[in-house]
Formats: sequence, structure tokens, C-alpha cells
Amino acid sequence: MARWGMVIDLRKCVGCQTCTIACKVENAVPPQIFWRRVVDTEVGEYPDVQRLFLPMACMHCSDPPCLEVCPTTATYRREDGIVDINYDLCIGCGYCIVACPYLARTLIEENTPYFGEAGFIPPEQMLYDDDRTGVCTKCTFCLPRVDEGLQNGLQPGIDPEATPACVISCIANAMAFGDLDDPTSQVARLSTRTTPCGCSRKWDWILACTTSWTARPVSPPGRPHVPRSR
Amino acid sequence: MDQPLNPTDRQHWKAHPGIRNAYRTLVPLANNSPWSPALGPAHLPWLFMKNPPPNWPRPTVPDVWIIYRTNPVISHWDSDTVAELLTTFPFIVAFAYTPDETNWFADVLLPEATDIESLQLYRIGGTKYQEQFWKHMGVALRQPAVDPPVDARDITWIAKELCKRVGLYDTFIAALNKGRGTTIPLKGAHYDFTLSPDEDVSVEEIWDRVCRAATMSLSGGQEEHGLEWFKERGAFFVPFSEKKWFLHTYMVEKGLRYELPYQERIMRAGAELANRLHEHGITWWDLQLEEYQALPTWKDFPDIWARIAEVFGKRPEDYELWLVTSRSMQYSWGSNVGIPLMADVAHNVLGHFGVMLNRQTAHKLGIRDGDWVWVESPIRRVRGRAVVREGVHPNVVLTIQQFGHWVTPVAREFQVPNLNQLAPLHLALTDATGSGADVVRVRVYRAEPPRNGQEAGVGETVVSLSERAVTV
Repeated sequence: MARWGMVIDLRKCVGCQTCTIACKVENAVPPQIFWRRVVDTEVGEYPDVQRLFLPMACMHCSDPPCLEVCPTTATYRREDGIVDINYDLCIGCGYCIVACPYLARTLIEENTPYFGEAGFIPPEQMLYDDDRTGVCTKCTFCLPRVDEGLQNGLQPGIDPEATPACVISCIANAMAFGDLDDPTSQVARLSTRTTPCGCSRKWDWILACTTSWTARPVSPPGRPHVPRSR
Repeated sequence: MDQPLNPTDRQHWKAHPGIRNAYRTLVPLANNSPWSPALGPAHLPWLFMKNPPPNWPRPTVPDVWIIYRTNPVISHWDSDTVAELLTTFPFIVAFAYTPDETNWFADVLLPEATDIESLQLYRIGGTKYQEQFWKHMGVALRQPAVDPPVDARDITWIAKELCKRVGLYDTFIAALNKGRGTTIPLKGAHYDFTLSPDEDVSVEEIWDRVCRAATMSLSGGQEEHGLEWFKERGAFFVPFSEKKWFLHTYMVEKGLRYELPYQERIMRAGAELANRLHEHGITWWDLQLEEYQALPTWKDFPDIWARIAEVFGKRPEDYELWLVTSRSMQYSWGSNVGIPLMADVAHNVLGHFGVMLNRQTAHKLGIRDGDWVWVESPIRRVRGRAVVREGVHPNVVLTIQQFGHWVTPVAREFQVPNLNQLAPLHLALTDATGSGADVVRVRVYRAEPPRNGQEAGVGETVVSLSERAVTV
């Protein structure tokens, strides 16, 4: 059994939000709700300040706090590591929203169209899912793409049709998806790599999750980053 | 590699402008290519409409003004003046996929299909020194993904029908055969797919010919593929050498050297142009002529924008901050501002819909993050919400893109100041190439909240439109 994971190289992310749009279109996510987005922030004080782009979504944690608090067992973790929600069981209580440290979950109270009174446009109609009303929702690692791809003999992370939409849409190839337990996979290789300036993967230990970030040399406030001499 | 200049000698200089922006009369640097009208001082007709300078013809109002995918009431500097002048245009025709601030003035709207509802074969890659590091070049088909929800038509159909109805069909077909509008001539060394003016061709037939011409052209006559092939395959590529990625290899191949910084011919063109203009009694372009230097020296550029306040009876020292703008990746050219999904996503971009200020500057001005503020230039003030940041220079105010819409759906709810509403239109802010800069000196101070959304983005006049009509 594979253990699906995603590695995001923050040095490559330019904050274009193309992954955000790809996710919204692929999954017909309603207005003002994001299953993933790129957090755009600053680190440091003027003039020693850097811009930081941080793609955020469900981290598919190995020990998900959202799962622990779910009173109906709607949230579950598959053997392949993907954390999913059974909409038939979800009662929309919102406990998981509070429990998630990454603000990755959102309650869809009503599935509204983007163009208001004009109603749902054809792409929205095609993907409309009545089950997604009154329930909590989040990134599924594009589970339908992964599962259908596997059924059709495709390899997630290699074949675009079987890979999450955010990954294949990235203009900078900043994201990789694949089997973390396969030492030959790109995600396995990237998740153990250090950055050219010698920084280790600072945040992995904080996240302890399936998704991992490859750190870029950003200094915490008050501690200027000093590149290593060549 | 040649960069020809428009002639400035007495025999060949164009003394009487043949186009309202007068690029061949005033701007040798703009050359005389199909792109030149866009490079010349396109704002001069708006500027001179009310108050033409001495010895210069007053720009006439066009009998028919046709606009395609542009919204100058938002995107032109001193957008209020543009809007006011449009009320004097007798007949405006607009291609339109959405209502906007410019086609709001139109007499006739031609509902145009959007990019995902229409057909086009477009080029991919194949350019030098434009950071397209691709090993292939070719063409790709954009085909309708959905039907238009209203009675909108493909631009190719609209153009064809217009030409037919006004008796220009022969010209339309001749232009297509030459590759106008498609960039792909229908006749080449290995092929001939030219259209006949005797036939009423369909949109599909036109693009089928373009597909065949493109593939034959790219493959050197080896492969021919029509529209149906592209509908299935999407794109056609041929290899593109990595050597062509960079300008340097091209220059070596052509035996060219990098030009020396001493631009003798620029100085000469400027001197000749000065003679020509002075012979015709035109001295109001002298400031621009000063820029024709062989080796430019330091110039106090900030002073140009600081002193413009005096033109409108204001004190330069009252406007201490530089308002600048930038283009966002989400909106780029701005033609998608009516798409709510883009607005949704753009809200993730730091400060996208606000007035960005440095934290220390904001503290000095008593402004906190999220406060309503006035951004005031010598001619107008506009309200927006302050976004306090570290990554903005203390002397700078930043607003992204060009908004301030009051007609375009979705965008009219943004409540964001538009630099163009605040930028004075004046000859002193025009350089030798006929361009200006997206820079305005402003002051920023706290404002009371707007009473409604419309009020927030539109702002208030400081100097009336009639008082602004100061040309020179």
C-alpha cells in the first residue's frame, strides 16, 4: 500500500495562486471557501524583510486531530494516508474545524453559485454535489483523480490525470506528489533533501504529517538570515 | 536587429499628423510599424481635445469610435477626463463580453464570446530573449469549451460580418490571406490555402485554413493538419534550439556587436526634430527634446512629479508620498476583473485590494491596519482601506492593478483606489517617447468610512475637470 504525500518547495513558490484556482475549478469549491490557498505574508522588519508564500491545505496528518474530535466518525484516515470525510456521516458540527491547526477545514452551509442570481454556470453544474451542503469539507488530495487513475493503471505523481490538480497546475513545478514509502519516488527524495544554503527541513518536525515543505532560507523576525559563505 | 527612427529631415519629416497621437511628427523613437501607434503618445488626443497647444490642430472627435477589449475609462491616466470627453463622441461601438465603464458610453454593443467560448489558433514559444526557455515552438488551438450563455458571437464571425455589411469583405479576405490577425499567412513556399473573396467562408473554414498553413509552415511542408486534427490533438510543435533562447547567440550568428552606449543618432534626431518643430512654431515639445542625448546625464526625475502640484495651484511639499501601482498575477491585463473566482483568489494576495503603507509611515500618520484612508493627489482624492506592511518603502503608497470600477460587475464592489483617477494628465509628465509613468505624488490621511460601496472606490474631485485642462 502506498503512502501518498506531497512535498512543496517554498523556494520555488511565487505566490501566483494558480494551484488555488486549479483546486477550486477541479473540485467546484463554492465562493469564499478554499480547500487550498497560498498564504502570502512577510517575515522581518523594513528594510530587512522578505515575502513568504506558504501553500496551505489539509496536511493529511499521520495523527489527525480532526479525526479524534469527530463525534460521528465521518472523518477517517485511509490506509494510503489520505484523510477524507464521509459526507453521509458528517453532521456539520464544526469540531474538526476548531481542532485543525492549519485552518484547512470549512463548513459549507449552502452551495452558492459564483455568479449570484445568474445561477450555477455549466462548469459548476457539472460538478455540483448536493452531498456537500451542511458538511465540513477540505482538500482530499484530489482523491477521485488518484483512485480513478489507479483503477486505470496510472501512477499518481507521474501521470497528470492521476495527480492532484494543484500539483499539475503549478507554474514553477514547486509541488510533487507520490508515494512517500517508495524510495525512488520524487516525494521521497525531496522530503529528505536539504536546501542549497544548508538549511534543513525546519518545519517537518512541527507538521508530522503526510505533506511536507522544503524550507527556503527565511529568517524569523529579529534574526537576520546569514547565507553560508561559498 | 535594426531600430529605425522616423525621419526628421526637412524633406521626409511628417509635418502634419496623420493620426491623433502624432507619433511620426513628435516621436522619431516610435518608428513606423503597426505597433507604433501604441508606442507614441496615445494620451495626446485626450490632453489636447479641450485645449490644443499653439500651432497644433485641435484633435477631432471621431465620427465612429470602435473599441475592442480595452477600458480606458479605468486604464487611462486622469480617467475622469477620458470619461467626460466620451460624452462628446457622437457614435461609439464596443465589442463587449461584459458591461464596463467605457462601453457604458457605447451606442452599439457587439456581444463577443469570451476566450473559452470562441476559436483561435495561437502561437506558442519561438521567441528569443523573452524568458521562454522551451525546447519546442508551435501553435495551439483554443476552442469553445462551453456555449455562450447569451447571444454572443465569435470575434472572427463579428469581424467577417461587419466587413461584409460595409463592403469590405474583399479587404477582409485579403488581410486574412496575408496573415493579419492570425500571424500566419495562408500562402507560403510549400502551400497555398488562400481564401477567395467570392465565397462566404465560415469561422471554422477560416481557422481550418490557418491550421493547415501553420502546420505546413512549421514543418517545412512535411505535415498538414486541419481544424479537426487540432480539435483532437490541441497543439502542434516543432523543436526549438536552446541556442535561440538567448540574444547573445543570435548576435554572434549574425556577426553583430553590442551597440555602444554613445547614441550619436539619437542626439542628431533630436536636434533635427527641434529644428522642424521650431520651423512650425512649436515650442511646447522642447522639454521632451531635451531627452535626445547621446549619453544621458543625471536628471532630477522625482522633481518632475513633485512640481506638477504647482500647475494645479498646490504646494509640492503637501504631497510627500509616492503612489505607485503594480500588476498582479491574478489580473494581469485586467480583462478578467468581472470574474468572481479571480476576486476570490486575489483576496489571498497580501494587500491586493487595499492601500499599502509602510508600518512606520502608517504609525506616523496615525493610521492602523484596516482603517479607511484618503489617498489625495493634487487633482482628486479616493478612499480605500489601509494595509500596513513591512515590505513597502516608507515613502511609498502601493495600490495593485487598476480598479475603481463603477459599472463592471464584481469589480465595482472592490472599493479600491485607482492610481489613474489620481494621475494628472499633463505634457510635463510625458517623456520623449511619448510615455508617462504610473507614479503620482500623494498624501494619505484617515477617512470616515464610506456610506456605501460605490462611494468607496470612486472618490471626490479636488480640482474640477475644467480647471484640469492645463496642457502646457
